[in-house]
Amino acid sequence: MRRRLLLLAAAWLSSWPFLSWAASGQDSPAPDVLIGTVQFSDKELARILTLSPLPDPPSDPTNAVEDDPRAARLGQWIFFDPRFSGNGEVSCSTCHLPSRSWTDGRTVAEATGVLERHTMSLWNVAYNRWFFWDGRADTLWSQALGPLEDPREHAGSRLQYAHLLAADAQLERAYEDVFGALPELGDEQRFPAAGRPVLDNEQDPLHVAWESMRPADQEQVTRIFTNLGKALAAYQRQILSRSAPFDLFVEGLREGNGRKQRMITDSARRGLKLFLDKARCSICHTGPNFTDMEFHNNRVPPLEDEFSADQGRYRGIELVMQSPFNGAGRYSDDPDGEGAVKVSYLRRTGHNYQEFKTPSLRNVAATAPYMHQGQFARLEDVLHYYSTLENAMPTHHSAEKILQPVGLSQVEMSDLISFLESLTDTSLPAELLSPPPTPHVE
Amino acid sequence: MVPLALLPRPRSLALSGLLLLSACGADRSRPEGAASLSQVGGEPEVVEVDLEPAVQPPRRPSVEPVEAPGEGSDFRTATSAAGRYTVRWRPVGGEVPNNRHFELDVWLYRGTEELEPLSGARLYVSGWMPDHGHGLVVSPKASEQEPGHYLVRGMLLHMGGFWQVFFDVIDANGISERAAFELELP
Ligand code: HEC
Ligand code: HEC
Repeated sequence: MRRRLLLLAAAWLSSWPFLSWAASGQDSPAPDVLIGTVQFSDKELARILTLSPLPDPPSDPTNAVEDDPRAARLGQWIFFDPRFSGNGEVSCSTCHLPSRSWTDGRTVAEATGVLERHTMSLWNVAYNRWFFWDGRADTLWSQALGPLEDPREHAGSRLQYAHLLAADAQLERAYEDVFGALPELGDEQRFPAAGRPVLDNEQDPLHVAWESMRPADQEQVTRIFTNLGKALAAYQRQILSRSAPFDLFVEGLREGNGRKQRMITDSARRGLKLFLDKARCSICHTGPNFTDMEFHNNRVPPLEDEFSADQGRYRGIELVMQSPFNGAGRYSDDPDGEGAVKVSYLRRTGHNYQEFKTPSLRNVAATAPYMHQGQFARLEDVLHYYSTLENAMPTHHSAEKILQPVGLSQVEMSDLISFLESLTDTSLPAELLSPPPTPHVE
Repeated sequence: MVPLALLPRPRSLALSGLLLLSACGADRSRPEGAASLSQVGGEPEVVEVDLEPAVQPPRRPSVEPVEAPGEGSDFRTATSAAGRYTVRWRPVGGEVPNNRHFELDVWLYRGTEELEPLSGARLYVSGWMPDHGHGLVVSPKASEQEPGHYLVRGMLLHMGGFWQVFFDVIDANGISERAAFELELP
């Protein structure tokens, strides 16, 4: 039996109506409710309630230290420390700038080389099921291992990072507080200064150095490397966006508090209604993090022709299944349990070709440019695209049926933008925005 | 008559009428010959197995009817397309969650009235969203827990809306048939 929402509208001081409701067993048809000048049906109101609040992030059983404040502190240190790179100049914050809402304002990313994709923001990463645009990582900690060794990003190596930990007394202490004693790395024969597996070039000196090591020593170094990822994840778990004006608005609906209901403008409320209905956005941008956590082919034209071959999720599935760092692998802290489920039942079909992850829309107004190559400079461009699907890429595989040109007027587009702007939360504690005083907790 | 636990679909879909008919086992006589995968709507949801060439099903001695588990409970029941198998399932944990992994508790039987637990079958669960033009993002895996009783791990219906959920059952003789269910996921 469906529970019916009984809606009670009441007048607020001036002309502002506000409402409150209670769930009841009654089946009387509820009238549409007017908030400001915007009419919402009971069905729409029920759906709005599913968009807020955003609960605490789900726990990740594959990372045993994810809620350890000492790990988060070390992770925060590493995030900003450029010594964790091949040339001593690149840190995570080179591309994920706190001052730019954890992205970089570029189309495609660039550090020591140019990447083929746009830097993702880090808001609410802890809620994700998959990481990267193509979901080639299934945990937040394994995600970090990619850029740390990518020759176009940090361009360093796990051996280099292990030595760095051992050489800096503060870092060593921070590491050992969380993960236990570092192994003795002083023997240069056994532990060369730099090295990592380089799967696509066995002549690479880093690969040669790595292959000269005993498997047990390699294993110790790789453990240290994965622990760095786990510390970075513990830090990034705190990058939360869930106290936006929109959340106050929804709180206002629940409480019948007119003041809170006015935390977003009439235009934003109209945009919200469009978001749910006519513009069809909430089919994919669902739930309180505004994402279904999965992948779609939005047919966004590539930035340049040379990029058009990006296979997206199709390749991502293959990579995450092969990754030694996935949730079912031996570096996972829950290889046989829940942590392995995501990667153990994956299915790969032609449909996955050129699919990209649905990004969260929280704080989206602050993370331009947009899409997997930063193809669109402004939200206006994004909405123009959804409105018309102008220049959409043809699909050779089964198309995303739910992606249809939604035909929005200028006013409707600006209402949708007002709504997206109401998802901006600026309350992240300032101490998370810069390097901590020390890598360890005092 | 085996009850069908189909959730009604709000909008009418011409094909679902066909589906209901076949799932009801309108034609109860055993089909001769080829294994069939009933195909409904949109792009074919190909089950990634090699179907062995069809073989004549052996005549089976009639068996004592077994009390079906979950009778009158929250199991949903359907007959496979040509009436060869009966599939009963329910989500472990009581409800089908929207966009979370879950498991299925499944009973497979030979027959539709005199039910004989179907042991040693291969079972492939798949799904399709006709309105969206895509299927499941997972390949759930089934394992037999006791004769006729299977646990399916790795299920995930990743979006709300109208889903068709297919159970492809292949018995030890390689005879495949599909039972289809429909559900509207809130
Ligand atoms: C060169 C710029 C660059 C650097 C340096 C960099 N990233 Fe990224 N980051 C990106 C790009 C580009 C993507 C998307 C890449 C893709 O999908 O292939 C990304 C994706 C991510 C994601 C995935 C977010 C999601 O929602 O899936 C996380 C988390 C992340 N980076 C964290 C980090 C951390 C931690 C570091 C430091 C160890 C780091 N990044 C260093 C550019 C960078
Ligand atoms: C079919 C599912 C789907 C629908 C419907 C949909 N989106 Fe998206 N959205 C996505 C995916 C997938 C991406 C990333 C696509 C890419 O990078 O190629 C995305 C990207 C975006 C971005 C860019 C975010 C960023 O960080 O780069 C914005 C903004 C956005 N969508 C807003 C909307 C709005 C507003 C609507 C309704 C008009 C909408 N979306 C409808 C799936 C969808």
